[in-house]
Amino acid sequence: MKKISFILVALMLVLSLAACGSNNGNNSSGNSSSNGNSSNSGNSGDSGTATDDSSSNAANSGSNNAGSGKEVVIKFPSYKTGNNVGAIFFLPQIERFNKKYAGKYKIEIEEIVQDEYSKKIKLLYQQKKLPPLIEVDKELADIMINNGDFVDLKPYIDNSPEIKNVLIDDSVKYNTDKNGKIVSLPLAFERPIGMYYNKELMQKAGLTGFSDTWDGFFSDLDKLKAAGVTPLSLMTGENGWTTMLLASAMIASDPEGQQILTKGDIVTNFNSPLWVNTFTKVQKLLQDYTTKSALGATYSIAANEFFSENTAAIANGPWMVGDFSNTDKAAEGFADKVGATIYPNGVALGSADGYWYSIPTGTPQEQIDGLIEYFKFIYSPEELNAFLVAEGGFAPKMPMPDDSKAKLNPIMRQLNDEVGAKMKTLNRLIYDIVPQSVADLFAKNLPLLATNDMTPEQFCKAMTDTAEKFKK
Amino acid sequence: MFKYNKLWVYLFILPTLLVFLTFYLVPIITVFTTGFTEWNGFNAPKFTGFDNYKMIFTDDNSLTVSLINLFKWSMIATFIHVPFGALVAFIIYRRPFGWRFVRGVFMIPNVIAVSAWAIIYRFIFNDQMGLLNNFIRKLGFTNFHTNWFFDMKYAFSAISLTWVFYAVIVTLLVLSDLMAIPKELHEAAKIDGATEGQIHWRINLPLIRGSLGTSVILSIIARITMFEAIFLTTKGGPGNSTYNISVMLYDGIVNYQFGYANAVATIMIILGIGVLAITTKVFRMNKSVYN
Repeated sequence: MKKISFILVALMLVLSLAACGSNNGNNSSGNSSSNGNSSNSGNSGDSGTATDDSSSNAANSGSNNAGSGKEVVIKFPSYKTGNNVGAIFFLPQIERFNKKYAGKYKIEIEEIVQDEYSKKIKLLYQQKKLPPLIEVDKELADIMINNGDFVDLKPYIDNSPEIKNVLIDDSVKYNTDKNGKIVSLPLAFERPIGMYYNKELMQKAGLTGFSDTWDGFFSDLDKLKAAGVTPLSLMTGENGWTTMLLASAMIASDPEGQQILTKGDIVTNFNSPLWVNTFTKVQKLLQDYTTKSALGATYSIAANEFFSENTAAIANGPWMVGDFSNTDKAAEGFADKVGATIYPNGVALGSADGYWYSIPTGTPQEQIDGLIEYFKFIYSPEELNAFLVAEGGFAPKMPMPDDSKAKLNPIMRQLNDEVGAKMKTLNRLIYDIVPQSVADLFAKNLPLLATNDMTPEQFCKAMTDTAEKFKK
Repeated sequence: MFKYNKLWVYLFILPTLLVFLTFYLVPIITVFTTGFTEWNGFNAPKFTGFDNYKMIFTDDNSLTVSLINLFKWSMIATFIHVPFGALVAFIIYRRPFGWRFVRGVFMIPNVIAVSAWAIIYRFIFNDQMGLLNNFIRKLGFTNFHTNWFFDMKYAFSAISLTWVFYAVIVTLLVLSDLMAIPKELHEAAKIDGATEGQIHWRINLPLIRGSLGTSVILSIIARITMFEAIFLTTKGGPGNSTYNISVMLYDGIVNYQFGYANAVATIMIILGIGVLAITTKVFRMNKSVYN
């Protein structure tokens, strides 16, 4: 009896282990034909992995369904969701696409915060579990290009005049690798990043707008302060976005800095007067011209200070304009008080040089076809114009029709006018030319600049040390 | 007969051995070996000898800062966290009115994910809308402004406060040891005229040294691996004021230096083993308390 009990217990233990393994297999195959929402139990502790399993399940689901003439489901993560300002246009556009291609293609979006997006993509790439559509930074793009891990979009673009005819030549050039492959969808539009100001608060200081020089700009900030108005919405939390934009504009105003930004090579040495002077000014901004909440502030806090009329100005891209008339975020009529401008010295930020949507190799053909249809859809005249009306910018190869112009938000129109009248250079951001380690450190050390626990020289040295450390 | 039984022993050990090999030993060996390579996570690792360790020990002060912070947090764990948990255990041991309720409430923070706590603490310590600052302002300090997580003077303390008083594991370990002490020992001590304080100090405390040692080991190892509470609040900043070895490992990963990250992980493992060895020695954990 004892022997039989032993055998039974031993068998149970061994079979339970074997069952765990086979169960996973069953789940996987089960998911392939289901909606792909189940996650692999073995990965349940890792949200990134679990989510990606859903993506790959969706991919399988798509392939299987396509084969049987059913709707192809394309699932990928996006940061243009939730509270992200990009969600206002992006998510309804996805719905419009799904409606237009109902029964053929369906895009499902997985929500992720912007700050974590690129890190997640890197981890998924390392696990070889990339979703069908990704956005990558320059560092990862270089590795993926070297490894040949992007689907070549050139044949698809060449066969799609509706895409090809609207693309900006510089962007096509940037997105073409040394073998002539187009590794990510080139841009058809440019969206200059500028600044928004509260006209009423500016009037308190006798100002109608900001000066065209940096000295004048600082003098305007002094006037605002003297009038009892906190001049700027800055932030040191997350990636220090609004603060980084002003620093980028300062770098772009200097001939040497402008050259660095134009060249676009990754910078690893910040121990030069250009960077030290810039961060001396940034320190002054953080210490003298912003709210107390700027210390550790996330974007939502910085934006809220502007929406609540606690600050006179905020630096950001045109995608923010929609929020000014969003009564969940700002008071009724707030948008009427807002004006738009670019930075002193005729500097605007943002550039067509950059990577956008890429499709990793290994993506099922049905999904690639679906994504090409998606690209055609977003670059169709109606959608592209709707996008520019909603989020600002201009498409050089597709002039905006008068009816779209008429729909243009007055703030956006003012920004376009400022760009037309004053813009001398359109520049990359600091984050486009520094390694990820430096971008992380930038935000981590900004509070020290603000509290005077670090000098601008030490700030630049720390960035240099970090860049050098991970330079390999 | 002995040989026959041995076979069964091995058979019963086999599942555990398989789990250990698959989920512990192989990853540990991988971590250790790839620590000697240059590896971006996407391509094959390339042997580089001690380069990663050289980078860790000499390139900047990340390791020094991490070890100093770990030492400070270990002291807080040993001298505040564990004693606080033990004190609660001693109070509950006396079974005062409502002790079951207190034990239940004390348990709550530990069943909430650390990441959720980190987010909650971001709101508690927020300058403008945070509970703490609003409370201070209510006390009359109307102009009080401090962003606890982002001010170098307070960030370390703010991080420490996210865990220091959540000591239910310590409480449960100590309580189970206290409850296992034979009543005869206490009765004999009382007959000999010992006061309650003397019973706690001379009988209970020495007899729970095993659970105290285990608590210290668990608490310090939790400090070595502490990540979410830091990453979701300060990310190791401002500057390096809350930087630790887990964030250092993470930095290696996001910068495509997997070899470097695994060398850091090896140091973490060595630190863990060191803590285990020292604490076992100090608390004489390999000797029975009743001998």
